[in-house]
Amino acid sequence: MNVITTIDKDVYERVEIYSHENTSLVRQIEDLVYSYGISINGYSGNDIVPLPVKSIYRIYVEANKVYASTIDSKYHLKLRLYQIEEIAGESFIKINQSALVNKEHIKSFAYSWGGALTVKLTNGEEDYISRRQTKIVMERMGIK
Amino acid sequence: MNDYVKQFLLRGLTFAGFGPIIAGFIYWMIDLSSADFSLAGWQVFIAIISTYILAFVQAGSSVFHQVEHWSPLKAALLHLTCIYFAYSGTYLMNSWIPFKWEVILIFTALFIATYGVIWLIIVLISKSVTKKLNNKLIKDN
Repeated sequence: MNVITTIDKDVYERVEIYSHENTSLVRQIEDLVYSYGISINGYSGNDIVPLPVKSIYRIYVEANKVYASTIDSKYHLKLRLYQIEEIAGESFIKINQSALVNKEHIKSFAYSWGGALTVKLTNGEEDYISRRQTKIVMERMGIK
Repeated sequence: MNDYVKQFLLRGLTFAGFGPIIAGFIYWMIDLSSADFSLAGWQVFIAIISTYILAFVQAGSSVFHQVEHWSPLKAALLHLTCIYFAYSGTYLMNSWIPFKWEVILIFTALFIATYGVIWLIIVLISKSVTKKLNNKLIKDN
């Protein structure tokens, strides 16, 4: 598939895809474009902060509350994890029962002698990949 | 009741009945291959009860590997401990191994070694998965 990028301040900004079939690449591009402009409201004290999905590194459940972490802050979200999964689309991967990570911010993967797989993010955070999610994480990373 | 405890009981009760069936099958095979094989009533009773408990624990404890907040090592150690006591208790009660400390020691060593090999395989799989994921990450970036 060819990519044509035109930088022009006078045109209506859009992404058009021409494809013979609706492939996973097409769906990934669509999800990426849709999620690019999506924001989720984050709550910090009395402040409500619109968080662009791409700025969120990790979304996790702690003491039955959902939080989003960015490069240096943590916000409370008033949405359920499954609702965020639907909004965020392909950009997030569910790594365990209580956490999603943004694919764009994954720094590396690691394993321990305890057998646990972990994912390290570029903001320094780390979380475990559950055994149940390992296969799904591999698929989402494009490994068959 | 905790969901995992419920799962333990549910799995245990679902598969517990297979213990006496397998024990019965083994005794039948022994009977076919040995002319003077016989069991007293109390021995049959102990075999049924102990193998029922063994199958219950074996099936129920499989839930340990699904407790997400436990590390795989913790889950494996608790699983190992559980099934070790279930197996060794059943073997000793039915006189499948004699009540001698040397024999129990060998049995324990073999049990742990087998589990250790399985554990090593799990770690090697984790290592391989990590390598694949990191290579993909490097390739995509």
